[in-house]
This record gives sequence, structure tokens and C-alpha cells, in this order.
Amino acid sequence: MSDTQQAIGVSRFPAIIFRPRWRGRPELLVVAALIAAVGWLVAVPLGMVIWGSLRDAAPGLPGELTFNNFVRAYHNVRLIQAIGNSLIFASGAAVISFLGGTFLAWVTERTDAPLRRLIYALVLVPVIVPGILFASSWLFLLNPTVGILNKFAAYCCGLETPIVNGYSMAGMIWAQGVDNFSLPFLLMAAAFRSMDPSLEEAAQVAGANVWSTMRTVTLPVLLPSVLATLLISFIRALESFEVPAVMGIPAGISVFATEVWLALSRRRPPDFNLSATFAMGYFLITIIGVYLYHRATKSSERYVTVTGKGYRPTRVKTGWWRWPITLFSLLILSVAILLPLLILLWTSLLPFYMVPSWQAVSLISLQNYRDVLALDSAYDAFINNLIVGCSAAAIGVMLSAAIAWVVIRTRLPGRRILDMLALSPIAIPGTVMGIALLWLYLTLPIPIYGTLWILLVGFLGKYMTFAVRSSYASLTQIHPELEEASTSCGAPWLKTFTRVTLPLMAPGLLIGFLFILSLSFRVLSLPVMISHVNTRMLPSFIFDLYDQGKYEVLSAMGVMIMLFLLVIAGVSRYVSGRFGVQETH
Amino acid sequence: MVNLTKPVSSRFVGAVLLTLLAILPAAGSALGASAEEIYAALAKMPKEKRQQVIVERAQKEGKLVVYGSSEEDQYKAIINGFNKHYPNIKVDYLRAVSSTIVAKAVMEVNAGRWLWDLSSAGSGYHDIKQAKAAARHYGLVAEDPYPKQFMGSDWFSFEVLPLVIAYNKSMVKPADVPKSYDDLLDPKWKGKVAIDANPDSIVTAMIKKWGKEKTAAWLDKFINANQALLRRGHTAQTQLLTVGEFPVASELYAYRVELMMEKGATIDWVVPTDVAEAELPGYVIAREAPNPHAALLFSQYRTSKEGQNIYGKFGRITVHPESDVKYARLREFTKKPLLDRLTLISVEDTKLWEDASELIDKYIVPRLKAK
Repeated sequence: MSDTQQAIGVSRFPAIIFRPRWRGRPELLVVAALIAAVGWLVAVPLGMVIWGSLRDAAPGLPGELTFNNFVRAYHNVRLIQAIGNSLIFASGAAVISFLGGTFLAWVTERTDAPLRRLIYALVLVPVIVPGILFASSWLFLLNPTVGILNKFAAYCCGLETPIVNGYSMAGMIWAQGVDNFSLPFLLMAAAFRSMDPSLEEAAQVAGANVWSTMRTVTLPVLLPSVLATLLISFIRALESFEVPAVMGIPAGISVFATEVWLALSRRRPPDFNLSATFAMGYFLITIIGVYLYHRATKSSERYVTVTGKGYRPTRVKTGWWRWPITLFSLLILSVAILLPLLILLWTSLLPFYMVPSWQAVSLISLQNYRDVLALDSAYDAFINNLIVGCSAAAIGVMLSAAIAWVVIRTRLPGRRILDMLALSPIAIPGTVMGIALLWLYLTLPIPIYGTLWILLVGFLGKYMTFAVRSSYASLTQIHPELEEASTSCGAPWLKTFTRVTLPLMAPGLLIGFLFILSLSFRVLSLPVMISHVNTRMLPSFIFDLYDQGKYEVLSAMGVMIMLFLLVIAGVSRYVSGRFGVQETH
Repeated sequence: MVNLTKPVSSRFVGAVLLTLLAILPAAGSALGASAEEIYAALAKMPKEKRQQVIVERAQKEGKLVVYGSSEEDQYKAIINGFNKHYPNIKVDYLRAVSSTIVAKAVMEVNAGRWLWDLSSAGSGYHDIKQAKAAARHYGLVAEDPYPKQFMGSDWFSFEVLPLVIAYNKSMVKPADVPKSYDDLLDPKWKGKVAIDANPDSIVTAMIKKWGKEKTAAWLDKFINANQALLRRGHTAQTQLLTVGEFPVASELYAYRVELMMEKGATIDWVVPTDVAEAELPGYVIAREAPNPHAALLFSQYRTSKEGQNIYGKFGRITVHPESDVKYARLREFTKKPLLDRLTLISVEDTKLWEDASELIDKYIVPRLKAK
């Protein structure tokens, strides 16, 4: 890696240029405010979770300190086996989603392949569609007895044994992996967009072809983004319960999330102490992941790609590969995203899910769409969602940009703690975080319970971490010499930060914004605990429809949400094109 | 990490305790008479005078907050019906699955915040009792002819939710349809019958009807010898039964199967002859309800013939003997002789859930092996 960089002329710069002293520096105020904000948003709920794991009574009830919860949670051997399954499942899914997402990001951001906009729009679709819909679609596609793929194979080739079996570890990994293309795609697209193409050009001038350029230059240079993406995908798969529930349970495959569900679902109301203790398990795995990430990206200057030397992203000329690359991308998208989407669309037109047949075609109607439009209280939830999602996303990216700057650009004491704090909420399951926040704001004299503010605080605390990761990845690629130049010209710190650093980080920040916004439309566990009569969010309605067995109405809602997403994607392309780094062709 | 958070959490706990000390006495003194005390006084009044007082005071309160797990559109229809009689009483409804809504309700009460008037209790009744959150209603919620078995001293139920054996008509011949849970042990059903991976409701009913030992023996044979198919969720099972992944599902909600049949699905159901389980989803009024009269008036409306008819239109099995139920076959669940045959699981049976949980841990969970 470093040999390659040296060969293509990337010199080593001193990495850290900002060494703030403790007095007379305005940025220190920002740092103090930042630590206070992250501390309040994250450390306090996290403290409650740790505290809960060490007590024998629910919040608000008298109890004693104990380690018994750990014995209750982790006493059996099954759990160790389940954790082993989880590691296989999450690693497999993370690799699939990383490879798929990264390849598609490279095609749309770094090549001149045609139909890039179409690819960009398609790959973003699953970001906002409820996870349970995609999991159910895969269930109908890969089902060993009634799955459409097996039925099709039997019809066309007369095969009697199923060609695919979704009720298996491979089926689970596939469904989880392809459902999560979007996150690696977004993170890697931001990284590709901020990358100095002179590195690739140099490789090509030296005789490397498209593939070896990608393998030996592009990916190694992007190592921090690659590792951050893998880490986040891994942890998300670890937490995921939809796919293990619908495909793992029938296969008799238990993962950590299934064991947590088994242990908690029969306790009513939910056992906060046991939930908190399971959260500690996720937390430990996350800490190990973050530690490994830091070890691998220790010298951040190795990954600097945006320097002050004539930075201008251009696209790789793929020559006669142009169309094969596009066709291959469309093939991946067809298999990974279009197939489940077609199932959604098909179901949304029927009174209930049916295997395609002429009889089913005769039952097609738009009734489910009419039913969705009749859910008038869903409009309020949608507006609440937009307000909370956009605010949390906007504040989240601002905070994350500042956190990234402190962690990567300064040597302030405590920056590693800030880093760890900013990432830790990813390890706390939404329900546990929800209970912690519920109790916190029920007891403290801060009157935000029952308002949208508590949802904003909750979303910021739990999901800011995604924006932080993408900000890190962005900032690591920007050389400090650009900020140094600004400071040398006399610009104060704040001006440098807002006029130089932030605009260069824009692609990464936009990704963080979109991702937090999309999560506000997808996740149920957090808002369901802290929303109240007038502050319901859209996921509550989505879950209600599923819980009521109205899968076909939910599918119609999924299709409508997708159309909404396509508009958002179009707008974001326009905005990032205007305010991000300009492309040259 | 631990070093960092420990001081934070101890400071936080201190803050919580101080706040509690400040809030609780103030909250207690501000509340005045509890809902339970008000109902005790109302129960002593002559019936006509009492109803007049309830309506007057409810209108003065002007609102109530309901926490429930019933579907949004169904509740909305009931609220609309209620508002035709009492347009000045605003009903706010917060819906979530039963366990979540009870957790919320209990946590609020434990924090000394009485934010709800009426709440679903589900199988969290035990915790509601522990938190002393439910008000005794002295029979004011419903009178004759509302069936007594759907009413406790501090809870009441609006409906009955039976679990039935459902089957795919294109895969099971009429003569082969299993009639009981015992029939499902026949080797011909090996690997063909689905059950939820966490079938707590039906196992609780079996323990109530058969005792723990017989239930354990049945589970062992059904799950292990007959290789029952474990699936997650009744919704997914209903869909998979309809498309024919398996011919029989052992415990689906009867009204859900009827809804699918109405849409044209080729499935049907039978009431098992040995254990005919029916859950009674319970509701409670908060002991310190902020709007006790409105909560009572709304509960009376929900148990009235009119309120029950609105609910029945959605296919739900209401229990008022004069109310209509959309599907005629489901009506039988609230009439003799089927009613007498039902193993009713009310909120008061929550202790049995612990036994059920133990058996599920022993016979079902090990099927989810690490592979």
C-alpha cells in the first residue's frame, strides 16, 4: 500500500497540524460544547444501560446491585454457539453488502459507464423500505417449497428438488447482505467522490488496467472508508432480527439476536435489566471492532487523497468495458433489489400474497393503495417523521463534522473517549435505548416527554454515529494543508472550518444526513418507546400493518415510500452536484 | 469505558433520586381523590343519579388518554361513535403491541407520572398490579347482560380472541382435517404442521386445561417426534399457509383466518375439541387516572351494545350478548355450548405464563440448534 503510494508520488506529510492550547482558542469552546452534547446525548443513556445491567429491578423500583443478570443472560452454552452463528452471519452479510455496494459506488462515481443515474436511483431504494418487507419478499423468493425461484425452475426445467433453499445460513446471509447494499454504497460513493483521481491516472499511465487499478490503487487508498463500511455493515447485521426471524428460525439456526428475542419476548413487560445485559454483549463486540479499526488506520496521513495540488475528480475511462460494466451492475441490481421489489409490487396489487398465476392476475386491483391513502392519521406521523428525521439528520451531521475534526485533526486529551462515545450507541438496541430515555425524561425535570424533542434527542443519540463514521472517512481523505493554507492566510479557526473543511467534507456529510433521515423512516424500536399520542412516527404504522396481517397494504405503502425516495434521491443528486465537489468529464 | 461512565451514572442516579424526592410528594398532594375512591363513591349512588354525575363530570374533564393494542382504524371508529354522543370529550389513542404499551404505562406510574386513563393490560397485568396502577371499578363499567367472565374487579375485556387449527383446503382432504391437538400427534402430520417459535398463549391454555405434565408430554411428541415446523409470527404463518408451504397451522387467530377467507384464500379452520383456547385481552383504568369520569364513560361505551357492534364490524369477536359479529361462525365463541368449552385465558392467568415459558424453553428452544 505505502509502496504503491510512494510509487505514484504521494508524499508523507506531518499529520497533525492543529495543536490547540488550553487558553485563548475559540475552537476549545466548540470542543467543550461538543463533549457536553455527546456526553448528554450518548453517555447518560449509556450509563443508564450499564447501570441497568448491574441492578436487579426495573428503573424506578427499589433494587440492589448484582451480577446475576450476566449469569441469567450468558449462562448457557447455546448462546456461545449462537454468537458463533452470528459472527458467520454478520461477516458474510457484511462482505456481500460491501462488495456489492462498493462495486456499484465505483461504477456510479468513478467510471464513465452509461446509465449511472439509473443505477444510483435503484441502489438507494432499500434504504427506506421497511426491513420486514424485504425479508418477507426473500422468504417468498427463496422458500424451498413454494418459493417463486424454485417454482420457476420446476416449471421450466422440470426439477423436482429445490434449486435454492432460503431456510439456510447461505439464504440468511444473502437476504441480509443484498438488503444492505445501500449503506456501503453511500459510504463508498462519498469516499470515491472525495478521492484524488491523479492516483488512478498515474496507475493507468504506468500500464495498469481498470481492474488492477481498482485493486491496487483505489481500494487500498480508501482503507479507512472500507474498514468503517465493513464495521458498520457487520454491526448492523449483528443487530438485525428480521432475516434471522423469518429464515433462520425455520432452518433451526439461532443467532445472538434470536436468543435475545427468545429470552426477552416471554417476559412482559420487557425485562429492562436483562435487555441491558444483552446490550453489553453487543457493546463489547463493537468496542473490539472499533479497536481493530483504529489499529488498522493508525496513521491517517497514509490515506490522504485530497491535497492542495490541483484536486479535480475525473472518471476512469473504461473503454470497451463501458457497457459490460453497466450490464453487470444492472444484473446485480436485478438479482439483489429488483426481484424483491417485483414481489412487493406484485403483492401490493393483490388481496393477499399468491404465487403468480392467471387466477392471481384476475384479482389485481388498486384497493391496497386506496387503503393506504385512507390512513389519514399516517399523514401526521409522516410529518412528524420529516420534522424529527430532518432535524436529527441536520444537527447530527453538524455535530459529527465537529467530532471528526476533534478526533482526527487535534491531539486534545479525551478525543479517543469522544470517539468511543460517538460510536457506542450503535451497540445499544433501540428498545433498550428507548427505555433508558423514557425513564430519564420521566424523572428529570426536563419537560420533553410527550413532545417531538425527546424523539429528536433519541434519534441524535442513537444514530449520529453513522454520520460520524462517514465524516471520519471524508476528513481522513482531506489533507490538512488545505486548512493550513487558509489559516496561513489569516482566517480564524471557525472560518477555516466552515469555509474550507465543511465544503470539502460535503459528500460525506450528505451521506450521513440521508442515512439518518432514512433510518427515521425505518426503525421502530426506538420511537415506539418514546413517542406519545401526538408524536407518533411512520414506522409505528408500518409495524401496525404488519402486526395486523395487512401485508399487502404494507406492500402498497412500501411502493409509495419508494416513489417518495426516488424524488429525494433526485433532489440529493442535484444538491450534491451543486454544493459538493464538481465533476469534470 | 467503565471508568468513564461510572461517575456519570452515579451522578445521574443521585440526580434521579433528588428529583424523585422533589416530584413525588408534590404529585401526590396535587392529585386529590383517586379514580378508585371516586368509583367507590359513585357505586353507592342511585343508578340514574350516578350516570348523570358521570356524564357531567366526564364532559367537564373533556378528554382522556387510552393506551391500547387494538388496531388504529378500529379504535378510531369506536372513538367516532363515542363522540357522536359526547362530542366535547377528546379521546387520544396511543397504539403499540401489548408488551410495549404495558411497559410504558407501568414505567410512567413507577415514575409518579399518571399520563394515561385507560390501558391495555395484556399479559402484563401482574406488573400493573405490582405497580398498584389499576383502579377497582366496582362493576360500574358494564352491567347485565354483559357476561361476568369478561370482567374482573379491576379489569374488563371487550372481546375474545380464540386460537384455532387452520388448514389449506387444497392440501387437506375434508376427511383428514385434524380436529384436535391430539390428532396433530398422528405420524401422518410429521413435518407438516406449523407452530410459532414462541407459542406462549396456546401452551398456557394447555397447562390450564391439561396440567403441566400432560402439556409437556404433548409438546415433546409434537415438537420433537412429529417435527413441527417452527415459524416466527402468526402473520407470516397465515401467509405461508395460504400459499401452501405447509398444510396445517396449529394456532392461528380465528378472525385473521376468516378475514383471509373473505378475500378468497382457500383456507379454513376448526375449533380444537380438546383445548379450545381463547384469550381475553384485558383493559384497566389507572388508579390515579387524570380523567376518571371520562375513562369510565368511554369504557361503558366500549362494553355497550353500540360500541361492541362497531368493533364487531371489523371481524372482532365482541362479547356483549346482543352485539353483532361480522362472521357468523365466530359468533359461536360467545354462545353456549362453545363458550362453556373454551379455556379462557384472562389477565389473571399471568402466573401460568411462567410455567408455559419453562416448557417452551425445554421443548421448543432446543430445536433452534446452532448449525
